Amino acid sequence: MSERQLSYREAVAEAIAEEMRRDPAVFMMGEDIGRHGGAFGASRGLIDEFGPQRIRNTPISESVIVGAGVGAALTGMRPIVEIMYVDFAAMAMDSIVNQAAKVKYMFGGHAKVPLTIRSAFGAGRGQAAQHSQSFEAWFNAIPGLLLVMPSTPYDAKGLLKSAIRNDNVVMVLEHKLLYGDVGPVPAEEYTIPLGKAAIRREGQDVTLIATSRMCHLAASAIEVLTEEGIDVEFIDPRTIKPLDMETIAASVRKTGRAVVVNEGHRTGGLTSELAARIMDECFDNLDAPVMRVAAEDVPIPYNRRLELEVIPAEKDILAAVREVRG
Amino acid sequence: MMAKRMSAMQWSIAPKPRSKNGASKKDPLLHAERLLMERGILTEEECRAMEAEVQAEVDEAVEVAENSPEPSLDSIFEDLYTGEAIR
Repeated sequence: MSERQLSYREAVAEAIAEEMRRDPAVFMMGEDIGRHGGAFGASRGLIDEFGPQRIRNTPISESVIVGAGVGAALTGMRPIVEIMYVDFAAMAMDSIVNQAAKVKYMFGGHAKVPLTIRSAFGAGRGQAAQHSQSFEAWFNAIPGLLLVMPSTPYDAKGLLKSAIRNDNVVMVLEHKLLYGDVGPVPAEEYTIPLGKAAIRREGQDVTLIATSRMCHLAASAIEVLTEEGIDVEFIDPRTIKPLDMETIAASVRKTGRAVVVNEGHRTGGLTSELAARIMDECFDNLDAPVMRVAAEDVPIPYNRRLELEVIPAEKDILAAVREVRG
Repeated sequence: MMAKRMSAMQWSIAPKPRSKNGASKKDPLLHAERLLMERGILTEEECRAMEAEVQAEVDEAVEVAENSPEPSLDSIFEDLYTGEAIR
């Protein structure tokens, strides 16, 4: 019997549907998520089953979407809010950073915010500087937020289900170029625990850590590197916070070399944090400096050629791995 | 050519809206045009002339863009800061 195949967007919609059937407190809010099915089709069909009371279209106001989500979560609901493009999370940063992330702490634990914030991020669609960004480093820098970045349909479903059931604020960042990707997603129910990395390939020479869509560039780079005789261990952290540092550190202690890849900007980016964490925990085991592959510190250009120049490419991963290999 | 390759249609993955709910009839530009003509501020001819003028300007801009050379890769650092480039 062949495994069932779903697209990333179908996997997201299925996770939401299953959790809404399981728990009447779960509902969804966002722009065009009803009849239209969401800008990226990740809520297609949901309104037919759950109706407009539980699949709620909102005005174009991210601060209202997240603010209402925080309020609903505080009163016992388990909202899933969708921010169409993560770029516009900037409009909701007060709700995310000053409210959602801090309420529990500031009320001495007497409140909780079981809120899931989903958003599409990333470059590669020629949508220019205001619709192509990767803000994961921002969210990772705020204590009180969990952060998930699934790279496959299987992970998109399993991690989202865990996010919805989690009693914390969980940011789920879905790369917009991944929604059409198809992969095995079993029909049987499953969840993937937050904070558990996936070792995609075992190897002895170099540890390669990549996030979200960068995992697919890394996988393709690894084929080339394997031909060259470089045995790469490939880790997809899947959850950025909590970070599975145990798996990452064990790998780096074995290989003595690490390359980290993330689509966000280099300065103050996720690669900075990962490289620092590796040096904190594995300095004595490192045989080479940790190499970072990240986007240039410029806005994402509209022009296709320049856009591809700014974000990490397979050739950048190849160069970094060859360099740490020495 | 680049503009065509990256057009919105190419990347459109969401289903088309099933009904426009008459939205096209409520277009504020068309509404303003009707209003101005009703009040005798604008004639039909003036309106069409304006339209042709704007269309020609847009067509010219598209042609210039499509026939311009691709920007150099170095240009990604241009126009980000005032004064000297900061990297």
